[in-house]
Amino acid sequence: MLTSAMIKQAALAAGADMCGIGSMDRFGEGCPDDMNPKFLFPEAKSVIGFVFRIPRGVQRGIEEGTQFYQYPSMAYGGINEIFAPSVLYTVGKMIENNGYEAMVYRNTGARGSVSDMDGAPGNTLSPEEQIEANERESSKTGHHRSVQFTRATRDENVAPDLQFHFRLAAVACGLGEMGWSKMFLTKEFGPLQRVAFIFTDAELEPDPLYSGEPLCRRCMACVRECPGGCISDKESITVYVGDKKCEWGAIDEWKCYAFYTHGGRYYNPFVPKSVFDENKNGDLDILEKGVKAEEQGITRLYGALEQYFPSWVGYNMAKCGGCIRACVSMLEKKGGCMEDRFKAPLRKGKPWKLDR
Amino acid sequence: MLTSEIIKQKAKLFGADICGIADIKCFEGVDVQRDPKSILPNAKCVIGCGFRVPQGLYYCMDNETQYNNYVSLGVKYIDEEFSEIFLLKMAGVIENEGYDACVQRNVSNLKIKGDKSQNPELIDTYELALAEPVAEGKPAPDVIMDFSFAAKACGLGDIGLKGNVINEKFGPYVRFVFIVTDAPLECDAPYEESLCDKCGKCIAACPGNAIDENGLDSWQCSVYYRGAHKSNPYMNDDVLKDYPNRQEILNGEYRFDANSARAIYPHLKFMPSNSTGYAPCLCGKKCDIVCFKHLKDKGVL
Repeated sequence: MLTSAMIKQAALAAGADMCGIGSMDRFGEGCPDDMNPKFLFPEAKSVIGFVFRIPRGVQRGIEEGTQFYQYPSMAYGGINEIFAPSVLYTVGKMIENNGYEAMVYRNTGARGSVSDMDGAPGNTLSPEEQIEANERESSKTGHHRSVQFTRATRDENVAPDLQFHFRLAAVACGLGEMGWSKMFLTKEFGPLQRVAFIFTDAELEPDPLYSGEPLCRRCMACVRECPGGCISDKESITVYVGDKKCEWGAIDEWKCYAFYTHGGRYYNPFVPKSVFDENKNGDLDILEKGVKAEEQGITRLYGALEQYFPSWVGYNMAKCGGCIRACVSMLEKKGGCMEDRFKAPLRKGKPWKLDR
Repeated sequence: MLTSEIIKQKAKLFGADICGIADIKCFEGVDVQRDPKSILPNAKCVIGCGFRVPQGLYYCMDNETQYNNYVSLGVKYIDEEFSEIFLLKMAGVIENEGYDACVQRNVSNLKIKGDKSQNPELIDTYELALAEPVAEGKPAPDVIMDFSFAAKACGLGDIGLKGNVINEKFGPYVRFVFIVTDAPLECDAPYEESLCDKCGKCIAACPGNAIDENGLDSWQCSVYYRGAHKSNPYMNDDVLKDYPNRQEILNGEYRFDANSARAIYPHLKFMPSNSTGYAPCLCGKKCDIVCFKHLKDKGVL
């Protein structure tokens, strides 16, 4: 008989750092249909969540201001595109060998029918995936999404591709909880992980939802250190997974996109100061003048600055890392989770800021 | 306690063919833009791991029957997939003992500020010429380690005439990754033997005359790597037909610099490369093949 213990053993042996299991009834009434995994596999009884740690060492170069490449390459592309799929494939085969369906679901950022920026339907960009600027001439979109063509195939169905909320699904698997920054936190790795899932019709013993000491201390370091001031310290979003309340600070997602990918004047050492000073055609107004961020402006900004750090790993090069590094350094200092995990702290002094 | 022995056992378990550890002192005096201490200031050592490139991939190119698999499996798969899974697993082992694991995969498409060379394996590269240090005393990002220097420091091989690493088991058929860490591990001695005897066979074998006694001309190599020579089996009369010095180019007699190399790239479309970002290898890596055969004949490997 296939058991939760067997699944977890297989997951860890294949390379996952943690594995948790939730029951499908945890995706309750509040879950919008467009993002409800029940539509992926209606017969599913269980969701299996896999955690893959982000080595803190790939944040080290950004913390020092000396190396930005390894984080997006290894901890976005490396985990989402290569490592996690290899584990899903291995565990999925083991589930099939026991006579059950294994509906594997890797991180599919930017490929869903609704925006992974704000949940709105339509044709929007994703902060994770690189805009295919060079190929825009041959396509209506500068990215991988093709949602302008998508439609439900039956009356009772939702439009493909269905992309659910990964971090809340991880909560549903009992792996951790949401932090104020909207990052998913675990006791073991704080905000440093990515997740992937398998939905199965096997009825597995679920893990309890996380109910330990709060992992997020609401210290607001993420609010203070976001270079774009994108996270509210007062307004919040609240949803429920099962009976667990999940709350995080309201985020200006488009502004976050702009600063995440291009850092701004004080946090992007690859773009000369003169480019920010000139702000040709107002392309950098989102970063420079606090103009409201939206897709069109983001695309202009991207086109203006992409050339200074071209990427072909398929993922945008993180230039800020403000919230994640702030979170790690504060958790290491003050506790909540991650304390005593490393012999030396990530942060040893004041974080850098370009003198411009 | 994390030991060198555990690291090497795990490296082997996760798929590395060779593993060595360099004391961070070996990097004293290197360019700060290549210094592992610029990434992790309290680094104690650098772990180097090598992955063999299967000989069969070279055999097929030497036999002039199959070229695609070398780039697909011998370059891209190792650098982009196998080594990433490997590094993530190794990082877990090191982190579980409380140390940082600054994983360093091959940064193939970027060049540090001031590095004007090309990576022939890529469709192109970008020099981070406009990058500025984030604070006084720091190097301009991105810091990119010198992989050949690091491999030698880890005791994993000698540096050959054209700047690549020659390992005593796999010759030039090997690729590397590194981990910069603050774990206090027992270190290996740098490699001191001379595997490269400067025989010059790589110089003679290159169809583009990209190698001489001073090393590799990476721009020249990039043009002939992707097939601008008459020994390329895909070469035909239409290719470069409007180039006035076509014959000179095909004979490997023309000298390319960055501008002229980039100008000719679009005319050398023998195989698809846009989907991967890697250029097809249509010189057949003759330089490495003759090197391997030479070392094997000598009984060195």
